[in-house]
Amino acid sequence: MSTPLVELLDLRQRWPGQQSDCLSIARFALQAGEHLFLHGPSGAGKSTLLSLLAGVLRPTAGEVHLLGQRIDGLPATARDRLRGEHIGYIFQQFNLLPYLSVIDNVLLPCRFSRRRQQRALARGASSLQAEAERLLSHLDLLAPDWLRPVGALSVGQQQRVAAARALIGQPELLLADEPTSALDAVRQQDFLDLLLREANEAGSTLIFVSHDQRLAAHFSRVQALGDFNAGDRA
Amino acid sequence: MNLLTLARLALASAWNRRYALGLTLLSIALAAALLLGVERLRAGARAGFSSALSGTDLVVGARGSSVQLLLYGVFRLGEATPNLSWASAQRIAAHPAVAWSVPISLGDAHRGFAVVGTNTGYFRHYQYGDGLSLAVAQGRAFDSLFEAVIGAEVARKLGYTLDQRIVLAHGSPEFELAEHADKPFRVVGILAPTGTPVDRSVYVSLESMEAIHIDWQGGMPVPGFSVPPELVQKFDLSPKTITAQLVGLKRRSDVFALQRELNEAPGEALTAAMPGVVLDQLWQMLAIGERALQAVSALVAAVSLAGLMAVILAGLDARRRELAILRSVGARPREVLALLLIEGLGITLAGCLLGLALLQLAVWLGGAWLQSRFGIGLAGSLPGEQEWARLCAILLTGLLASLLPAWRAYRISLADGLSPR
Repeated sequence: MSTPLVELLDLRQRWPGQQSDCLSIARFALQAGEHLFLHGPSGAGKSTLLSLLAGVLRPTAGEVHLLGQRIDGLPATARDRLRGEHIGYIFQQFNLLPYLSVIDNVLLPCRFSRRRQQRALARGASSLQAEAERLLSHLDLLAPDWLRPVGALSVGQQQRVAAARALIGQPELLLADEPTSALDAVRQQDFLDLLLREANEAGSTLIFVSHDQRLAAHFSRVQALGDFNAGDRA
Repeated sequence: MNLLTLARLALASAWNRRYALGLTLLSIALAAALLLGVERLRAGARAGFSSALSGTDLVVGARGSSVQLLLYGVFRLGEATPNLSWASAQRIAAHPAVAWSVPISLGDAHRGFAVVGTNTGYFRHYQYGDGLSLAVAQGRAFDSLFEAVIGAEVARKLGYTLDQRIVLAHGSPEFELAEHADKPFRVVGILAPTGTPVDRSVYVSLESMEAIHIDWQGGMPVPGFSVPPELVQKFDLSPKTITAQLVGLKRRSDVFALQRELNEAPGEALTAAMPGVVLDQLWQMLAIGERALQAVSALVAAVSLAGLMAVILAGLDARRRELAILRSVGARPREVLALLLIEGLGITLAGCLLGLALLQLAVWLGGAWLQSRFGIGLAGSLPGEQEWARLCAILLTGLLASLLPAWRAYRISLADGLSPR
């Protein structure tokens, strides 16, 4: 078996002032290309887990490996760098820059990472712009909206912009934190289908976090956080 | 990310916060205008002081302190200096190196303003500021007895117009003793404002000066003896003494030689002073006033720079999330730093330019008024050395203040920045 794309070992996470660990994971690993649906009740620590994987947070104890590299000991700037190069992160709050146009928001990772830029062009697009446009149209965001500021879009449209931004430049790992929570049921399923299709095309590994198990159907692997987390079960 | 893309991102971000940034820009501009304005005022006050008299190469009086001579003779301030004889004055006027000379005879006053006995050469030769000559705004110069020309401030304060009858009094402007009520004067001319002591004086001819004192002795009218104005012409009205003499030379380079010659001349003991040199000495004596102005401008600087810092820091919290988002998509510290520096530099630079423009506008609008009212001429031209130093201080403060958000962006954890509070 090859080296997992991500791996957590003896990981513990405890918030300051808390009596018990919120996360306590002996081992968790994900192979390249897997699509994981991670569910669990609100407050179980799903978002915290994603933050640890993306190097946004540092664990209280234990190891975090990404692409065969141990990242929990790296300085913040190095983790920022790795995240920018290899991870597409769809935040629950989208975290788009409201003053940039749709296209410019999507292109942000390529602006900061040469690797993402090269990989985006490697898809055969004539320009970064064209690749962003291709992703947006695959996500059902059409030309008239591309140059509008994201602040002017509906929640569902912003969601898809956030997804396109995470997908551009084919990052190895896609993290999606409850991205459908603001959508109605029909749109949730549509969005999920689009996301999975794009992740497949890009060959990205996906961790999709949700408390809503109805969405789990199309994933190759479905797990509850509680299955492998020994910490803090309410 | 290249600089151009960063600059575009900085611009887009700044445009998004344009109202708050507009206020920051305005406060920087006001701080800059205030800082530069105070400095320009100080420089202007100094220049105004030393330019109360120009074009005059020597001021000659009886032997004494040259500072006192100039204070009394030009600014009409301080103690009266001893007089020099009319004979000496005429000898100097006839000296081959002398191009022109103008007598000044003080000792009378009119309602708080000094009366200057002189001749019409005063209006031709007296210069102030950067070689500006006096101008008669209304009427004409005096040409016979009992005619007076008044300075602009005299006219404004006392509400005088042409043909006004005025009565001179014996004594200093502060201490008028007895009036020459029997020989009133008629105002025949009003001078244009100059912002110098010229505005605060009443000018009459030396002969008029002599005429009003003809029936006086020892500073008092002689009891039982009075000469009516119609008859004064029958007397010899040439002055016996004058207070000081303004001298212009044919060649300025002769000034040191003539000064030495006059100071060492046998006979009546004289003092010849170079106005520029003495005015500088005077300014040194008044340095405490200048230092007070400098202290005020330092305080203004501190307060406005602190205000500038506060305004920039106030905008910091608004950017917490934005900077976290940039980090989350892979922006490196130096890229975040560059973004903030571009904005900080841009806004302080724009603020400085706007402040400079505001100041120029203020000088343009109010400069003439300031010149005529207080005698402070503000150079409307390029900023001086001191002003550049101040501009640099503003820029530096702006840069330092804009670095703080960068430092904060890396101090607060990324997780905190990414979740809205």
